[in-house]
Amino acid sequence: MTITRRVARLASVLCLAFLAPLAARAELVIEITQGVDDPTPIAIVPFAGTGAIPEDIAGVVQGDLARSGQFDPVDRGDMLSLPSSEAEIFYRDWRAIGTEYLLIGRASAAEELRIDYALYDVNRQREVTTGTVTGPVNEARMLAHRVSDAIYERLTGIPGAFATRLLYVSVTRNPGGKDYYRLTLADSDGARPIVLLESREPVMAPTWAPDASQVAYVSFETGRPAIFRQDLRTGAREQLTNFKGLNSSPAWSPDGNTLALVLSKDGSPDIYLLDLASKRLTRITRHYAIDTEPTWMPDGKSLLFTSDRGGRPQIYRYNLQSGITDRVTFEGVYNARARVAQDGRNVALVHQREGQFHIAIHDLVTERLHVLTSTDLDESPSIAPNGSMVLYATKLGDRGILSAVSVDGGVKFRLPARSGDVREPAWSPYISP
Amino acid sequence: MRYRAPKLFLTGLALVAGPVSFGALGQDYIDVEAERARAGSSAAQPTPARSYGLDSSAAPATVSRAPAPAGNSEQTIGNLFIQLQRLQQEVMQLNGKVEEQAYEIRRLKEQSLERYLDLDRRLAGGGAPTGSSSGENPVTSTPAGSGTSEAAEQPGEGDAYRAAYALVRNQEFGDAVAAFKQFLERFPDGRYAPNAHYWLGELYLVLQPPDPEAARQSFMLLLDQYPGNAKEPDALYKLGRVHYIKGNRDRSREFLDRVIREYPESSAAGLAKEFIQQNL
Amino acid sequence: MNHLPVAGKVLTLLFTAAFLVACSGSGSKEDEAAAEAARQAEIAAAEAAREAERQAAEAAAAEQRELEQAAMAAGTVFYFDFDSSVLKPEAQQALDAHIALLKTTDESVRLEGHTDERGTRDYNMALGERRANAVRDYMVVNGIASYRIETISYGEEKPVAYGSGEANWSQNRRVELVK
Repeated sequence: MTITRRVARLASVLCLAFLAPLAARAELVIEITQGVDDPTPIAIVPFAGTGAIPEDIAGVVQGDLARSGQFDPVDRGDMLSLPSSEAEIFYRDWRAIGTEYLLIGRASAAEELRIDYALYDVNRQREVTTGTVTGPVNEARMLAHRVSDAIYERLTGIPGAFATRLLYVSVTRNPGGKDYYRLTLADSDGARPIVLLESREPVMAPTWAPDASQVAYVSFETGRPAIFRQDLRTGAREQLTNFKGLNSSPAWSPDGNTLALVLSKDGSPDIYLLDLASKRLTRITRHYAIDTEPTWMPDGKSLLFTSDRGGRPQIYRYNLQSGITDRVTFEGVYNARARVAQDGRNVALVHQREGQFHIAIHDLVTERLHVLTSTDLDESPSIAPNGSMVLYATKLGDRGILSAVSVDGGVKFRLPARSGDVREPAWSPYISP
Repeated sequence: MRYRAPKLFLTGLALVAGPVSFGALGQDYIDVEAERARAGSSAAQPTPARSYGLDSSAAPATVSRAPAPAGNSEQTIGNLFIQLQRLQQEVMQLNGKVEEQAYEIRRLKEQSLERYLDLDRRLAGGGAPTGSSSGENPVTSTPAGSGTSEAAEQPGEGDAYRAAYALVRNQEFGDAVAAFKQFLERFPDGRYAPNAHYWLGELYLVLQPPDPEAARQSFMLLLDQYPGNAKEPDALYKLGRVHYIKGNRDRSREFLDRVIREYPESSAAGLAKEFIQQNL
Repeated sequence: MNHLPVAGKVLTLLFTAAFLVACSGSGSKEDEAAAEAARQAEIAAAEAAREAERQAAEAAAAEQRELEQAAMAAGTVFYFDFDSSVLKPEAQQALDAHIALLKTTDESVRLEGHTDERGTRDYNMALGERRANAVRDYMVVNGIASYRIETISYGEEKPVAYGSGEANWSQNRRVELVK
């Protein structure tokens, strides 16, 4: 019930989001399907504003915190007063509606947008934290997400990952085979979608550079698969590979200098490293089996990849220093497309159980695997930079949608698109302001 | 490999073309395969051929050979190719089985080490201060060395040690490591300091993942700083195991031989002999 | 083999002509007659040869048509089991028909590998390629030059049957032969 209430509340917030200037076709709508059992009630009072504030700052923060599943924002209609400074707070009023925390703030737009916020503990009747974020006026939503990050970290101890972005691929199927593939960039809440690439041929495997300034992906626009990289600021593109056979699964090394990728030019799919400066190519695996879906450990010293050298796809680890390959996963007959959290411990992957494909977390330390999702055909997991949520693609009816689940499985939300199939989400690294 | 396969088979065929017996052998093999293929296809879509399969009195060999097309040598290569594909898949599956069994063995080894730790604890009475284990092992439960200059128990030391040790019992190995480290910081010259070093050594081996180097250092510390300590034979035996885990069989053998030589009556010597027999 | 009956006829004619010449004895009239007969025989022989050629061409065309029909009947899509790239016996038979036809031409073909939607996209990309390569390798060992065959994998990106369930999936796990 709280969920429906929250969704309704969110819908009003997100409608605003979709008035964003850069309208794109594959807009995402967020639906929270499962939150924690006892989310913390928090009141986010609409921020006072001077000048032309292009966004409802408090509304964005409220959406962020609600989406985390760990907070239960108070309905604006229930607020007895709308303070914007400490002097205006009557704690009694807030205790009466059962909120534990109170966030107030003010925004002022001149040459720059400046947001001041303050968080109060209602029961202890004292200030918890205050802060200020500033930036370009047209980045109002991003600034609001930065406020969310600060509040989230203060209250949960985990850095927030709201001021981040998503990449995803959407497909519109048209009669007569005139399909359109679009690579889209959006805020972490699905707002402000921008189409980076539109093609009649498949676009796949989008991935971020570690500094979030560029992306790499596979495009079939030449009639064959080729790996491209694209600068997000300038839009400049560079075709990195054009080999016979497969050109797939680009993965940026943590230092940003190397791209791991998959080529089959020498026979079967193997992992190669491409030095981005010298364009020198080094072959990493040599096996007649399929070796694909490389991903880097955060320390950059080893790679995880999928291989069916054991008859069925499983995750293996290649140590770049020793050159030794070890098998990582042993549970079940299908474990593929690993993505490692920044802690270097949690590995999100696609796991087949009783014929269905779920997202699971494999703990590299305990070597245990736990399944996070109960839907079928779940794929392409991508972990938030703070390691809290896993974004993935699944099917809702016959449509491809994005979904997210917390690494402990407690919180779930969906991001279905207004139209078309959405797939292959890639959560950005932290973006420096 | 897959690229090389056709060439390989062409060369193979050139060789086969010579000796007739080889060719015949190849032919037999292929026919069996062709039959199986036909059986498979007839099962999928019923054809007259099916009745031959059902009629056990019919000679299936002649029946299946009859419709063989003219281009026989290429058919043979084609079938060999299919055969190669299947073999490749089977090799991969076997590879997977080997990986899984190696993993199983590793798990079992770790478990047996854990079990040994448990056994060892009971044998040695855990070295916990008296009173902690309801007098189960009244004789062996005296901690630390016997003959050596024994440090006196410092205030609070016993409790801290017991607390750390309780974590070992509860199999909370990570926390136990932290607790023993903390214990050694507080009571570096405490009465139970050598025991703490010993337990750290043990714990590093059962942690996930194990840290044999840290274990080695802890056991060496015990030997270097507390010569003649009651835990010395056990530490020597453990060092033998640690070096084995680290892949140094020679060093492993050295320590195991030493415990057998220097403490022939100890239970550690017995374990060392057993270990040598099984692994070295 | 188709030439034999025609050649027989020609031989018979030639023999008849020779016999006539031999029997005719001497004399200009007879000589003329003999020459005439020889000329007739020559014409007949030429005609027969043309006829033979025509029949041979017809037979070849018929054979070609037969091969084409067989290839068409075999279809241009070959199906696979889940996570497998091993050619099924049906696929092998169908391919044999295409190979027989390809041997009579120097056409190039393109093999497109596909998978169903289950499993991960990039693994399926690789699996699609392995399927296309399996078909290519089978064609190559059966005598089709590898330079005539191009392969590409679309993984699960281009299904023919949308929707889930084995009925759809089995149609999507395929290699398509495109000319």
